[in-house]
Amino acid sequence: MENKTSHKENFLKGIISENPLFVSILGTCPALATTRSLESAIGMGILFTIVLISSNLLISLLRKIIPEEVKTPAYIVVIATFVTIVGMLTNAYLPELYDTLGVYISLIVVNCIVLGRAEAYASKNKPLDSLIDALGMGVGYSLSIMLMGLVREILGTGMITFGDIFTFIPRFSIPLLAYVNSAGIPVYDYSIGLFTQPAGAFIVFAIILAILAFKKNRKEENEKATQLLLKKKKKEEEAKLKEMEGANK
Amino acid sequence: MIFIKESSPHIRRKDSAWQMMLDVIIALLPTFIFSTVIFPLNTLLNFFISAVIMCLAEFIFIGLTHMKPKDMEKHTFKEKFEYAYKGRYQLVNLISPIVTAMIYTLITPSGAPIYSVIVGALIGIILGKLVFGGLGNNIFNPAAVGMVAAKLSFGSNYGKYLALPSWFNSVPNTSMGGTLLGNISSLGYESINNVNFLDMFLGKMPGTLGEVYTVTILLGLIYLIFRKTVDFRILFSYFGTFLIMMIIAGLCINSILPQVKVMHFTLFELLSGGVIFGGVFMFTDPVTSPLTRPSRIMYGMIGGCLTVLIRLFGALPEGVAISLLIANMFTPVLDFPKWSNTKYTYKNIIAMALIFVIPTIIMIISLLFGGVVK
Amino acid sequence: MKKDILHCLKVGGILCAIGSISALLIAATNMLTSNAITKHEKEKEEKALKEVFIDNNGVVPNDLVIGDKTELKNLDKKYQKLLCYWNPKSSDEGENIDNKYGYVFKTEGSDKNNYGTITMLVVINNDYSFGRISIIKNSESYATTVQKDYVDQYNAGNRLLTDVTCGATYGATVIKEMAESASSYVKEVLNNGK
Repeated sequence: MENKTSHKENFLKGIISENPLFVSILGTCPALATTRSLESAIGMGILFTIVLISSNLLISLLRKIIPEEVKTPAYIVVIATFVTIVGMLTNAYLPELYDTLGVYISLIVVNCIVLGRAEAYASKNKPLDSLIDALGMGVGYSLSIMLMGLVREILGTGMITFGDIFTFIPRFSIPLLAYVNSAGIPVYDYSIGLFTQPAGAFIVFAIILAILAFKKNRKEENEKATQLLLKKKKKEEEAKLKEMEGANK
Repeated sequence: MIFIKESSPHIRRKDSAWQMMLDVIIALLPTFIFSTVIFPLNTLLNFFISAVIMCLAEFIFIGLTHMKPKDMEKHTFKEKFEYAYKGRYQLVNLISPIVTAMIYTLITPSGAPIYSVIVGALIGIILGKLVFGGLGNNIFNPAAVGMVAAKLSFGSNYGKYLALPSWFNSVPNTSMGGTLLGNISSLGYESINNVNFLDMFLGKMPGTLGEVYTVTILLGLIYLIFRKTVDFRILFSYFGTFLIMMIIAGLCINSILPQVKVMHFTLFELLSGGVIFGGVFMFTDPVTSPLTRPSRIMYGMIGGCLTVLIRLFGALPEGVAISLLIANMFTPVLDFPKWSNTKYTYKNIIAMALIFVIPTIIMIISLLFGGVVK
Repeated sequence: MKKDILHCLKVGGILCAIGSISALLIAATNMLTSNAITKHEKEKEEKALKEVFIDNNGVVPNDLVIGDKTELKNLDKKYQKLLCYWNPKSSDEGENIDNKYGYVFKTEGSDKNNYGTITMLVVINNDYSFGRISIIKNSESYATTVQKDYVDQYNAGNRLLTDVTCGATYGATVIKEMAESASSYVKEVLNNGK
């Protein structure tokens, strides 16, 4: 008997319980390099999700045709095709995004998440399930790198800037820790520049992982303590019952 | 056998860890007082702010790691407070952040804005010491971590050196807002010949708050040697490696640019920047330096080689803090129980010779065949 | 035996099919987008060229006409890093002073101990001194401070090209070398050593 998980669970598992960046810790290289600002993280997330969905769908459709001995090169050819197509389209229609991300678009080919989901899930399941799983993983990864990009941009530059990369949005910025008026002169500047550099990326990543590990540990400790308490209460009740039986006799 | 579990610092003395820290505070007092006399406002304000931040951080940290007993009952605030702090917060937990704050104040530039001092202190104590487990468990020197983090974050805003007050009469300020080391990269090595060494010895040049007053640092060093707090092996190996490599470098530069005199060059590099302060107070910290005797000599040699290489070829003018952090990374390797030894075996001596000889050869080849970079 | 050969042929055929489908898809995308890509590259170059002539008020002069590009090939070892140059003219009638704006050179190079190349534009004035410098592409992984601490300060007025702790000594040396070789090319080759 198969245990079928519903579609909703399949989608949510990619965001919360099996988040590819914070739980399986895969794909950290683009997460550290493209999160200098919130906008480039959004761009990277969108491109990544497109590649993941299309390659997983195609591999799941072809899973009965590709023979076992050559499956890894075949998967890589499929993924590389989609990455090249996405790269060329970005270069043509969103050139600022292409300039900002640079070489990290081509690095999606060797990203562990894409190849890992292809081998572990898409080659064994139906197309609809693979599609939902890829969508969940892509959305989960995008949300994770958007969180890192937000923290790094607020602490590192002090403001959240929109409109640099997606040029169809008029350029505006939300001043939080630093405020530059329209003439370009900073009025006040309390930003910590360490977080726009690579060292700051590692520090932010480590702090987020530490917070998640703390929550998991506390949940486990609370469960253990509850179980011990239940055992203690059970023993007390049994001792009381024995006393009462002994007193009755 | 009875095994007693202790954490660093492991010392074989009659008194305890906090007495050793008290010795360090007393040895730092001459430099601190001299610096207060010259820049009263900056020194005291920086020290007060960083001491408060660091003590508070350590206090909160000890409470956070032991919050409440692991049963699912409710406790009052007083019970939780006692459970967390009783028996775990000792005198050494109050003195140790004060030592760190003092060293941190003395390596900040004199004109640094207050916000960068605060950020540096926070990053230094949290990411340099508390994250690893508190007193005795840290790998890196927290004052150095804080200073380097502030320098990376704030860039040119941080490295402002104030001019000395006019009653402490100084040489007319020839540097363009930086230390005298910054002069070399813009004016060339010949500018060393114009520097008066007695002035540098007494501290009449711009620099950070504690590095430049060599007389007071030497007074502190005499006190520490008298109380047997520092290990002479680290001092000898660090300064010895530094001086020998600088003399060799001076000879190489002399063969290319004959105006540069060798002894002038060596003495200038020794007295400028944080070499003496770093070597006396920061390299000899017992928690972050290795345990066994041959390892300590190797540790000093690594530090000396790295300082010389960063000074000559690196893009930053001041190299002591970064070479200290890199040498700290080697401490667990040098102390690994599989190959660390308290006796001077052949392997140890061969390792020491290699650590010294290989960077020297690289330096000679680079200087002679690569040409002097300005 | 037969089954093995048939199996191998089948596997090979499937791989060829996958490869050819991918090639067709990529070729189709290329046909769609190649015009847009070349247009974008050209726009970037023109924008960089205009930016190099910004005067002290931050405005591009109105009468600037960028001429045609002259490629440089087969040069001496000394001028190896120069790629091409433009000779912009002024479009005002009657003020046809030749070379009002000097020459603009595009150079690309790297040096020993570098980990990438720097592509930049440098303006050579009529008296063989350097004008503004602007970096188009910098693929040196360690020299990202070269733009902010070295070139920007140079452009803002400190026209000496001395390296004041920008944090990337070899990157700064390469920029200075390329600017000097462009200047000596103008002096010796284009103006025949006058």
